[in-house]
Amino acid sequence: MVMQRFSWPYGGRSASLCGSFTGWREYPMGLVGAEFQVVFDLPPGVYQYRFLVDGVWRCDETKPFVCDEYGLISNEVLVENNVQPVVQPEPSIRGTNLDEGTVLTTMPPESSSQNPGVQIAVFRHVVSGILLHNTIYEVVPLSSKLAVLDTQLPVKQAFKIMHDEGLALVPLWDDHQGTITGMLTALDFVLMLRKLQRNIRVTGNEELEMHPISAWKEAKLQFYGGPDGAAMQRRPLIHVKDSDSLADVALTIIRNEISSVPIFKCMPDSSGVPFLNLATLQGILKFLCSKLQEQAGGCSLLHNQLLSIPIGTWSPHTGRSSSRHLRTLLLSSPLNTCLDFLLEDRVSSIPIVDDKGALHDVYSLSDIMALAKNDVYARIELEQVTVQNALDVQYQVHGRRQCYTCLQTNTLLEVLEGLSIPGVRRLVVIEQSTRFVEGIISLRDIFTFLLG
Amino acid sequence: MGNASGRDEDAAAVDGDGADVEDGGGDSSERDFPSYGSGGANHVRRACSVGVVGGGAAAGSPPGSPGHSLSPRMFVPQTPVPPLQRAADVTPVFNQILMDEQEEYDGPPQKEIPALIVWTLGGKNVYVEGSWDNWKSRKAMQKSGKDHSLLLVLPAGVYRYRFVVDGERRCLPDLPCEIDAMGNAVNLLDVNDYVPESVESVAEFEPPPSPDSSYSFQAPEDKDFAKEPPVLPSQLHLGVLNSQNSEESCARPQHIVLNHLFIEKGWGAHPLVSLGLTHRFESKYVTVVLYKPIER
Repeated sequence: MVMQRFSWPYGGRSASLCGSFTGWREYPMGLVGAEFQVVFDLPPGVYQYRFLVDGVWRCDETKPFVCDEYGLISNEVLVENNVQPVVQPEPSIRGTNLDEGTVLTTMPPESSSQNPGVQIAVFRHVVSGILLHNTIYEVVPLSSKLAVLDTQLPVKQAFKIMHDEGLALVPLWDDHQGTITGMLTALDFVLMLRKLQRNIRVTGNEELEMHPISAWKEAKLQFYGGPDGAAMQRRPLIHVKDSDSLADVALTIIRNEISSVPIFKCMPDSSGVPFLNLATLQGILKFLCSKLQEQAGGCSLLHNQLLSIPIGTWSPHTGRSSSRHLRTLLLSSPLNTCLDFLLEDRVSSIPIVDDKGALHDVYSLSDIMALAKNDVYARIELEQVTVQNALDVQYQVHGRRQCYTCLQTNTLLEVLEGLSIPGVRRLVVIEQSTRFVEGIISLRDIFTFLLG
Repeated sequence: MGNASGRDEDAAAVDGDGADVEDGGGDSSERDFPSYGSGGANHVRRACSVGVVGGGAAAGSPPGSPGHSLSPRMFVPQTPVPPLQRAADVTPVFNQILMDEQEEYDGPPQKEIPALIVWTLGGKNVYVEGSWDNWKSRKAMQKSGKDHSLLLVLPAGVYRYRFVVDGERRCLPDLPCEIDAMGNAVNLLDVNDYVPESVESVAEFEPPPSPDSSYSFQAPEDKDFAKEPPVLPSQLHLGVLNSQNSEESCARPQHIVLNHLFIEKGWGAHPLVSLGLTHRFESKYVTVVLYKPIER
C-alpha cells in the first residue's frame, strides 16, 4: 500500500474528494493553510478522482485528466510502489481519521505532476479507451482495392504479380473451400529462394515455374519444421472480424508476429466475398492519431522527447535497454547474411550502414521482391550478392528512395505522425551530425508500448 | 347518454376543440341530470378538460402554452359525479379541485425546446428564477468567462424571468422586459420552435432560356436504329482492374460498376485471368481482383 496525497489549492469554503478508490463516495478534505488535503492508503494502480468544492464538481487542470465515454472529466493518478511514502505526523497534529483515508495537517512537498510514469499510464489509458471503443471496420478505407491470388497459381507468376503490383503480401483464395485460406508474403519468397539456391543446379528454375502456391505451402511445412526435424503444424488462418475492437486487432497482429491480418465480415453478404480488407498496424495508428488530436487531456506525453520514453530497439552505445538486440549491416555484407539475420531475429528490416557507420538505407523483407523482376533471382547466388548489389537492383526497379529517420530529441507525436505516412514501417533513430544508427522504432514497437 | 368509452369526445378536448369544451359537450340532457355508470367516466374526464381551459393553477403557465392534458386512452374510475356545469359557472374552488385531480394523470409529452439564458453584467453568484415553475426555485447559472449562462428546456410559450445577482434581483435592460404588478422589472423569454422566414431574402429564380441549338436536332431515322448497340454501356469502361493498388483509399466507385464481374485474360505473357468485382459492404466499397490460372 502507498500513502497518496490529494490536494485542492484553489480555494472554496468546503471540499470533498471522491474517486474510483472510494466507490465514488465523497470524503471531506481538511483545510491545511490555504489548501484542502486528504491522504489515502492505496494499492499501486491507476485511479480517477474528482473534487466537490462548494457543491460543484471540479477537476484540477494542472494534473493529468481524462474524459470518459459520457463526457465527464476526471483527474487521473498513477500510484506507484516507488513513490516516497507520506511521513505520518505526530498524533497531535493529525486531523480527522476517516475509514479509508486520513486528513493530514503536514505534508511533504508535492512530487512533480509531470512524473513520466504517471504520464505514460494516463496516455495508455486514453489510448486504450480509443482502441477499445472503436472497431476495425471504422479504419477500413471508404473504398479500397485488394489483390487476391488463387492457390493454384504457379509460384513464379504469383511473385511476379506481387512485384508488379507492389505488394509485400497477398491473401490466397482456395476455390474448393470458397474462401481465403492463407497469405503469401515476402517471407515465403525468401524461404523459397533459399531452398531454390540449395538445389538450383539440379532442378533449374522449373520448380517455381511449375508448382502452384498450394504445393509450396505444403512443402514449407515439411522444409521448415521444428529443430527436431518434425514438420510444422498447419495452423488455421489468423483473421479478425469487422466488429473486433482495434485493441484486439492490434494484439492479434503483435502476438502472431504478422504484418497484417485479413478482416472477415461478421455476416456474409450477397457478394460472396467473405473478407473486407487487410488490417495493418499502420492503418490503426493513423486512425489513433486522428482521434488523439480530438482529445483534450491525457496526451501530454505526446510532447515528450523519445529520450524519456521506453520505446523502440536501441544500440548498446546509447545506454538504453531494449528487449531486442539492434543489428546493423555493412553495404558490403553478403545478402545471405542479411536474410539470415532477418529470419533469426524475426524482424522485418535491418539498417544498412557505410564503412564509417553512417546510415545508408534500410533493407527489409519486402525489398527481396525486387529480385522477381526479370527472374533476377534465377541468375544469382545469394552468397555472392552483397547488400549493395541487392539495393542497386531495388533502385533500378523503383528508383532511389527516402529513408525515414528521426532523432532522440523528436517528440512522440512526431514519431507517430511519421509512422502514419503510407509506406513507412519504421523510423531509424540517428545521431544528427554523424548519422550513426542509435535505434529503430517500428510500428510493432509503438503498439507494444501503447498496449503496455 | 353519450359515448361510453369517452374516446371521441376526449380526443376533441385534447385537440383543443374549443366549442365542444366550452359547452361542456354532449347534449342538454347530460347537463340536467346526474349520470351513473359508464357515462360517469365521461363526465369526470370532460370536467378535467374544463379545468385545463380555466384559470387556477394553469395561470402559472405562460400564455398560449399547452396545458396539462389527458391522454384519450387513460382509464378513469367510474364514480357518480354531479352534473357538468358550464365553464363560466365553475367556481375557482371547484376549478382548483379539478386541477389537483388532473395532476394525477400524465398527459402526452409536450415538445420541449432548448432556450439559453445569459447574464452579461458580471457578478459572483448568479441565479435565475422564472414563471416556468411559478417562481418556485432559483437555478444557479454557470460561469463561462465574464458571462453566466444556463440552458433550459421548456415547452413553447412566453415566460417571465429575472436574475438574482449576488443576492440582488436584477434584469437585463437590453432584452425584452416588462414591469409586473408589484412594479418589479422582469425579462421576457419567448420560446418557440419555428424560425421566422424572411421572404425578402429569397432571390427570385429566373430560369435561363433554352438555347436555340437544343431544338435543331434531326429526328432519328431508320439508319440510326439499324446501328449496332454498344457492346458495353460506356459507364462500365471504368477501369476496376486497371486502377492502382494503394495503401490509401481509392476513389469511391460509381454505383453503376457495383456487382459487375470484370474479366481480363492474359496478364503480360502469363496464361492467367484476372477477375474484378466491386461490391459494397455497409458503407464501405471493396474492389477485389482475383488472379487465377487458365486451365490448360
